[in-house]
Amino acid sequence: MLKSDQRLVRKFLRAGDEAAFRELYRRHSPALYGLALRLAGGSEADAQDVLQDTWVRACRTLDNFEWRSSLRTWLTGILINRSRELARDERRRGEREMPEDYAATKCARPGQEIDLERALADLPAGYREVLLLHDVEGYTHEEIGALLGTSAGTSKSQLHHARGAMRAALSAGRR
Amino acid sequence: MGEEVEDKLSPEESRAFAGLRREATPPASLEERVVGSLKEAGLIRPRRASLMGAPAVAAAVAASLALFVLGVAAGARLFAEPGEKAQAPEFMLVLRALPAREEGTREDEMRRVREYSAWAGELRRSGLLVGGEKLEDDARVLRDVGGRVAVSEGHAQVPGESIAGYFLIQARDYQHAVTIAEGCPHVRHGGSIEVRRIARL
Repeated sequence: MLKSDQRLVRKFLRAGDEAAFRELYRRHSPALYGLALRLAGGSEADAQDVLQDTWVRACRTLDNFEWRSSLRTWLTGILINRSRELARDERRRGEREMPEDYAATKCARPGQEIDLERALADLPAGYREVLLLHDVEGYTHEEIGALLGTSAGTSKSQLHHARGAMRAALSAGRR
Repeated sequence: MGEEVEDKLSPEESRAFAGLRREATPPASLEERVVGSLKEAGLIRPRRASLMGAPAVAAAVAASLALFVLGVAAGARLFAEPGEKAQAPEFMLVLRALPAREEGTREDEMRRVREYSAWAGELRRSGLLVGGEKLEDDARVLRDVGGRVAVSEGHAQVPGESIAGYFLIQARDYQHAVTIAEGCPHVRHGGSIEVRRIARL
């Protein structure tokens, strides 16, 4: 039977238990990594750095986590902050480079999925965050507001603009 | 405060979003990297050996010694078994050459080399990489032809099947080795990787 996140976290905090950490890591990392990859526009190196930093930061502050959200949501918040910091640092250094073939490599199936991945990767970072969190990850506007440090209203407004940008990109891609 | 605007996805858009993969498998080496960082930071602590554990350790040492003696007496293969437990198994990742259509320009090749190097660097940092090299394209193949050794030159293998390079890695078992190999950019570029465990004789 699967141990709950709370039980594993308690075990990890009590004894620095490696097995408990590895179980948490394996349980949550695929979803976090999927999001990190899309937030990083497909850069695997960036997504891996972000995921590593997310876990290290989370483990440093786990004892302050009050379980008002799920562990996954809390980790997602840390991951988004780390992604933003990394993007900001790279912009400062003029380094961020979007892999041209991201959509093609991530989506082997032909058709709309490729268009959608490409449209997502090309969106401005702020639009991409809210669209991914709402339409791909399934978070509510209230949760997104809390994750991004804004309000539910701002999340709705951003989503509206993000979908508009995505539709425009998809429509341009089909012409 | 943002304006309160909401629109709905069309059924087609909803289906498209639902069809996207939510998860991606991070490379196995990343887990080791993260665990390594947490150990360095003192957030993962080594298990303290309990007094109850001491006799078991002593028994294991005695058993290993007995197996060692038995192994030497009975031959090399028996000897290899306890050795495998002490040292992680090694696997060779044999990289078959990319199909010609994937070869591309020199710039494409350099970009691929950088990707491979980044992947290998990560493995090295996590202590799982033993070695690896890219091989030149030309080859010499030796065969017995009617009792004499014939040596042929050039591209001796069928395109797409010749060996482009290799990595030697440490892994717990085949599954672990395959998971590591899955992170290698080679397959994504159209090549194939054969995973072979190193035999300990």
